[in-house]
Amino acid sequence: MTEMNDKQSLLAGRFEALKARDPGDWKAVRVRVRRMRRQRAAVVGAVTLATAVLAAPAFSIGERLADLIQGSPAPLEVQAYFVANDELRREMLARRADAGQELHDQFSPVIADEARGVFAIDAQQGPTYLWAAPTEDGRQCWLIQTGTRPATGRPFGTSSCDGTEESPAFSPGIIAWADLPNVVIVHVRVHDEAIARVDVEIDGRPAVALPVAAGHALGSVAKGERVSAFVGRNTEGDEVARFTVG
Amino acid sequence: VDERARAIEQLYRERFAGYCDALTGVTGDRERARDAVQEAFARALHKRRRLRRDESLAPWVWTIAFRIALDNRPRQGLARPELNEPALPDSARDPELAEAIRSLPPRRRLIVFLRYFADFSYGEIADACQVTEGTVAATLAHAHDALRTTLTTEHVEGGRR
Repeated sequence: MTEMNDKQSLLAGRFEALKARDPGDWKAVRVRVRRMRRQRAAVVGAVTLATAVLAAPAFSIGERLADLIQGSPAPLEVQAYFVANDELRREMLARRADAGQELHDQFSPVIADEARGVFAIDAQQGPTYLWAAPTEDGRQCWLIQTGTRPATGRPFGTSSCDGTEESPAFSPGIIAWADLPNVVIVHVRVHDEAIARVDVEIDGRPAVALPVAAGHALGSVAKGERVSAFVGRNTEGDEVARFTVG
Repeated sequence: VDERARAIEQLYRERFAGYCDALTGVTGDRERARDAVQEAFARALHKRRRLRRDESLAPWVWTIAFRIALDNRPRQGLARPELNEPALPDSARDPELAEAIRSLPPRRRLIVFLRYFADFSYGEIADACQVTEGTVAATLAHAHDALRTTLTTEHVEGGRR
């Protein structure tokens, strides 16, 4: 009997009759994954400071290290930003035509009082901060804060949240602000825990290494320089993922 | 969605029930087996980039599920016979087959379960059980012979053809 025909055997038929018809519950699997991510985020948060200190020499691109946030809760103004942003997300999702289960899947409230500082870099015009807060289902929302409105004390910058789709190894972004005339911010949301650093490859000069902490890497590049690729590397320096800028 | 995540989801949809059946044969408890398989797929999805490129997905997930099932066994039941003596789940539905399975050595039972419940190829069984494909083929051939003899004899004795 060979592998080709043993499936047609008497034995195979007897087993076939006994098989359960249980389709399983894929959504429940994904809920477990989110819980794992959330547990991991909590652990990573506890070691963020150590990671940042170890990686400090490569922390910013050609600029001094401005500050290291101690991993303590974010200021109330930042927590309030997350709360307000949450409301905005909730409203936007509620307007979607396919709200319902889809809404339930996509929206998970942010836990604003667990927001913490991940990075602070000096981006020439002053410090740029990255704050991150977990959502109840274990994803993350984050704020890259480039400044504070003097009148209200409210931070401003750009914010985002993890989607519900299975995440790629990392998601890089290049952010330009009018408030930052000389630099662009490079931010990478890192989902693959094997990635310990992200190399930013820039035309005409050596790549710059950004450390990963709490699933993020943050740096700045002088305006006019062209970023050609982001390369995620593990602790041994092996390439884990690459994103080529088109 | 990356390729590995997609492959894991597809594996789940195709073989979830088979994994549960095979693992129930090991644990003797369908709910425990089901929970272990759910957890195994979640861990596989979470840690999917740890899968080496030369490693097959199906046996990798099975190995995770198998370890979870053994790790989660009741403490007082470390020597419970079903953990060391894989048995046909729901044996009342086919007592002849259950008896025939019991006549096989435990290692062969597991290989039979992986083949006929979880639809593993010989190569996947070899990976999951850390043996060669030749060993799998020989084991299944022996199992077939033993079971064919047992089942045929019982059918004849029972007046069934």
